[in-house]
Amino acid sequence: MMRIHILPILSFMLFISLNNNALAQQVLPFPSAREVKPQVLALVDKRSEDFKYLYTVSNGQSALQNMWQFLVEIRTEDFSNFGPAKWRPSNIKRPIIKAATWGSRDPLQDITPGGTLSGFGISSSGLPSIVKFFARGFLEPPKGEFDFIKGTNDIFFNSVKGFTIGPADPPSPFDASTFLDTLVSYTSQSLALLWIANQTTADKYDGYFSTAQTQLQQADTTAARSELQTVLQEVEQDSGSVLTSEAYALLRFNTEYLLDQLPVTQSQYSIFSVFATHSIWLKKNSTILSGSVVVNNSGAPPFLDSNVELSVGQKATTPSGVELKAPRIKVKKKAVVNSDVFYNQLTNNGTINGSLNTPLSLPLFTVLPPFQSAPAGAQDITVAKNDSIFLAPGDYGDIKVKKKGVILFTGGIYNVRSLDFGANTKMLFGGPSEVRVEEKFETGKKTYVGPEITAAMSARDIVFYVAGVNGKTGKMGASPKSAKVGLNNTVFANFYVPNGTLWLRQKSVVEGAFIGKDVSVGKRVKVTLNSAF
Amino acid sequence: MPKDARLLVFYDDLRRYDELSPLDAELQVHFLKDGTIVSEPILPHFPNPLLTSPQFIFNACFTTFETHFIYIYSNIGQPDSVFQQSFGEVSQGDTIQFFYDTDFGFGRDTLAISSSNEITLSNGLIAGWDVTLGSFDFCLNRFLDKLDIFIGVITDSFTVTISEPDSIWPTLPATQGGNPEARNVKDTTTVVFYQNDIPIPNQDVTIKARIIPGSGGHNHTDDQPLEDSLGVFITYGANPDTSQGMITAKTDANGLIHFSYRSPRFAGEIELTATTVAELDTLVARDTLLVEVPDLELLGNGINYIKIGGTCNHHGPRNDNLFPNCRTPDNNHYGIENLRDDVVAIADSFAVEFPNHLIQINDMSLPNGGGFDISGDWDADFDLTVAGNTRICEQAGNGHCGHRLGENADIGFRIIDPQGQDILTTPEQRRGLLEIITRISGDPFEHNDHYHIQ
Repeated sequence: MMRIHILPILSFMLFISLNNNALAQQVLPFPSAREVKPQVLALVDKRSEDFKYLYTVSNGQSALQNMWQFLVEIRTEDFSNFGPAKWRPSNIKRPIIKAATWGSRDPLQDITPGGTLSGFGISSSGLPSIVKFFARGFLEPPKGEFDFIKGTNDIFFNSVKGFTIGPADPPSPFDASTFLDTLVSYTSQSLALLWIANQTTADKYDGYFSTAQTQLQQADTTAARSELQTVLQEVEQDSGSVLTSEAYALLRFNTEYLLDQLPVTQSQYSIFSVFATHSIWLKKNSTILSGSVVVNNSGAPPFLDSNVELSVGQKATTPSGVELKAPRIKVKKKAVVNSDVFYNQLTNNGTINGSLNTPLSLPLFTVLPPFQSAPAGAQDITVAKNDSIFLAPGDYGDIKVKKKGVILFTGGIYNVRSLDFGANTKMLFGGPSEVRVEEKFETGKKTYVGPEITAAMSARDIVFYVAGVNGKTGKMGASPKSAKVGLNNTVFANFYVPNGTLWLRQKSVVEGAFIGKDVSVGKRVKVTLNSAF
Repeated sequence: MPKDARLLVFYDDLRRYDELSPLDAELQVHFLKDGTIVSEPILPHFPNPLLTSPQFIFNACFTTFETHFIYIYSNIGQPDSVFQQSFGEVSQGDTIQFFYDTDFGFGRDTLAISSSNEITLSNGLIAGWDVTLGSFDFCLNRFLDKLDIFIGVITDSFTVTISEPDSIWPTLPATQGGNPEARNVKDTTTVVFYQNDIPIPNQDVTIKARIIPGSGGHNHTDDQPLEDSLGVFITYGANPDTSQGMITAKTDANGLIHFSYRSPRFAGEIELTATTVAELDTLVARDTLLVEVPDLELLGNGINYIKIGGTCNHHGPRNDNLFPNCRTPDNNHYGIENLRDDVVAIADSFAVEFPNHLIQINDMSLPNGGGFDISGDWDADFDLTVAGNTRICEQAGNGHCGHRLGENADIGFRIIDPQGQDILTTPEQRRGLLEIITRISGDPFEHNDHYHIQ
């Protein structure tokens, strides 16, 4: 008894004991249960509210004892554990350490030298953190009774220790900057533990976290979030190559947690449902249901309509509480503009119920939302008529879907050369996705673009970055347009088309944010704001 | 007024003129207190009669010189000249009467008190009286018969005082943590001997230790511990003395003996007894000292274990038919909080894995810790060295050395199944029990029929 719980000082105490008293008294440590050679592989799965920590444990060939006890330190009260057959899951709670434990009840199920056993698991809401594991060999209890150095029979002392990942309560109170310090620490520790393969990779993540920390210190939460989103993208790409499952879990899930804690501040672009750098045309009977409509700067003709940067067509309507901003604005007959209007030149033939504000300082923004692009892949994908496929994230060439075809994008980052969806097709998304289109985007009539029905997502979780220009010349009149949403489409997604025209064709119902060099909102199109920017 | 006084009578001197000493003489002391009389006869003893030379003494009445023989009986310097009698508490207003009778003459030969004077001590307290009993001859201008006695009332203050706190640890070997900060030594223990508030120096005092039978959970009363197991006394002074179990020392000029006492390895109530002889009377003073490992408490009853192992040497519960009269009190299941918590946790974990199975908790520690001599012989637990330089405790199946500190417990290989039957554990249950123990309290020892957790 009289256990020594303070593990960090136990070795020191042992040293002192051996040197001062114990040797003189011929008192030795308790017989060893450390003649095992444990190796632990951990991975974390999160398919529900809780994390599942899964461990595979090996006993090295040179071990002298069978392994019959395995422990993983945990830093939360919220956990349960499960184990392989004939291994009893339990736990230890000491004043300064808690551990999930597993003990073999059958010698035949012990992990023999050279053996490996999977199935050790912990369910917990706790975040992945770097913790100790403890492995013990089977030791026949000594017969008789003898004195030994106190504490040396304790399971946390008389065991082989190593590092793995295990659940921990998030810090409370939470401080984002401090948490980023933790992430930086995880990165350096992971490198030391060989969970990150090389210094370059560690430096990369260290850089992301340091940048995000700086941005947070400058109160630029949006930029910090963007940086952290990049981390999430990077860990997906690095997983399995330069990140072990341990490092992947540490970086991914802690970054996700941090993102969840950061306030989602409205970026300066988030209030725009339609945003153009050159011109916008709200065609006849089009309806802006929410969000502002803005042209960033004055440009050179030709414009989409009426030689102005912003043309509001006949019977088009815009909502109140938002803004219409453009250097030159024309409001056509029977158009109803309930929004506040900011301009330098206005031709009003309709009704403006909002306020009129002039002059307008230009450009409105000098820095635009970051555009994401990456080289496309070589693999073309063609979906036959009425066929359907799942598409994992990755690099692809031309993706073509024929009539009534379906693609379910499982979620992630897709780098493609072009997207061409035929009539009555479906472009479904099972998870948050970023589709980077190198050339053109086009859908046929009655196409659906948006979350798969069971996915807990909205339009802001799907972003198309379309890099292509109109036609081959890039001129306004050239065809095909950079991005064309077909007739009668239903779209829940965001579009960013900086080099050409984003054409939302008539009768489509779209929700998201629509940014382009030129944006044409077709007849009877209804636009609802749900911005990812 | 003094309390618990002893009455002392010194027959200093008896002189008789022309007559031998009486064959029968009696001094009676009547102590009147609260309407009662305590009467004690005292027979004088004058062993050395001395007939002096004839003396010519002037008789003033007849203006003649007369020749008289004087018999002198003196007890001065004789040890048996002192009569001692304790009359208990003496209070102001109490009366003490003295009568001296002899068989001389015609019938009784009672001498009248002719003179007395109080003897006071330097601090002003009355310590006694010089009393002369006799018949004064005014013609000769001297006593014809005279008895000089001294009657003293002596108040003794003889105490052993153990300073607070009056408990110390049992002595432990270095291998079990030793005795840091001399926690097994009571360093300020004092014997004080005063009479009538005057310190008595150079008084021989013997001090002994003994374990109070039945204390410390040792229900075996036949044999006391060996002398060298009763602790060690160390006196302080010009000539320090160290001895085991008993010392003899002299009071210093202040009537004091300071000594320290180092506990034995057994625990329980130790009585320190000081004795001294004063005026032929043996004075005894006692104080008790608790030798204990602190913070030991009884393991309570639990829902997932039973307690066993009681014997008539150390009472405690059992689940068989042996020792039916020795089941209470439970003396063999004391431990520190950690141990008690661990025992409960082990039992609870075992019951989770094997529902409704109860483990059996055998010996832990005695109520005050210390040596747990399972055989009741006061030495089975000791670190005795046997052939091969191996301690008894190190031999398989032997030893209870680990049970001194309330940190160890024996958990049996037998359990109680859901039907209430006492059964041997299956291999899986045995392995489960071992795994639970290692997890909760650390690697155990294995003895004949139990795991010894620590």
